[in-house]
Amino acid sequence: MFRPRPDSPAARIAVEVEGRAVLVPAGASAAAAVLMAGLPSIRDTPVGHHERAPYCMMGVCFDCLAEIDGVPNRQSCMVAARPGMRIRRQRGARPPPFPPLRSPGQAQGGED
Amino acid sequence: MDRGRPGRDGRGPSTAGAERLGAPKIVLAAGLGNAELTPLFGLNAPVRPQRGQILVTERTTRAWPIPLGSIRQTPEGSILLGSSEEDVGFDTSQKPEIMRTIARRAVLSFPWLAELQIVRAWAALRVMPPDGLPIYDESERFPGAFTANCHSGVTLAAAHANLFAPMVAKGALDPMLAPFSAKRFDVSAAA
Repeated sequence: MFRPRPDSPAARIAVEVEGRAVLVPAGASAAAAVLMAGLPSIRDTPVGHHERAPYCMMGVCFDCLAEIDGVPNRQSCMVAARPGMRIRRQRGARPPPFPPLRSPGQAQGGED
Repeated sequence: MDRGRPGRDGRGPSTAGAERLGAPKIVLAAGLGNAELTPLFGLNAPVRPQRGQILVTERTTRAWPIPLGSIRQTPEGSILLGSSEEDVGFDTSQKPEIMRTIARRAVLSFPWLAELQIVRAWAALRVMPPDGLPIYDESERFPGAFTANCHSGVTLAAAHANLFAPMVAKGALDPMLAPFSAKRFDVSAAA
């Protein structure tokens, strides 16, 4: 659906979008990589579970939310693509980042 | 309406312009504007602005099975951090030091909150009665004129919709709302 502009620099940065290898030019955003991967959407909304794809490309609409290198809910249009970056689908709301539970036997007095 | 005034027949307000609007009933619910507006209708709502600031995180799945005081999660998953109270007139600007304090207290309570992104933050003014409780009244001078004031229209929305509004429609406030009359601020008369 999307093609690079004819005047864009050569696509040399290799990223992974939902398991697909994608090459994007230096300076491209992770959201641009999502569009170049040809995916119909990159997230499901938390309430209505509707599919969304990058839209505003300027940090306003939040429709490009993705899990990037293991961090959920990133605005992919605001993140520059880096070699080896892994961009994954954001499925609804992320879980709260609770610390792992420790069993009472492991509980220590000190704070970590 | 720039400024309401009861009509000459006492049955409705006129406007600052040429147009005149009539209504058998009127509810003054202009928030902080009620301080100035209510005396024109023989009512009293001495509300003052109190600034509150709030931070909102990215959405997560349900984090707590219960609502908490100044850390609340919406059903959609946003976590709202807030509860600051400042007396700064009508200034709605945000202050980094207050925002920092709100964030620090939240992280002291739940350290994992530090890993969440803040996606929105704002300041706004509460419509604060002198004792913090709502003011509901009807005008004795101008029957049909009512007023409703409170600092949390969200918390009390159900009471306004299901209790207050039917009373207005009926034409008189139920005695159950008498404790919320502004007459409570006139200590010598109330004694």
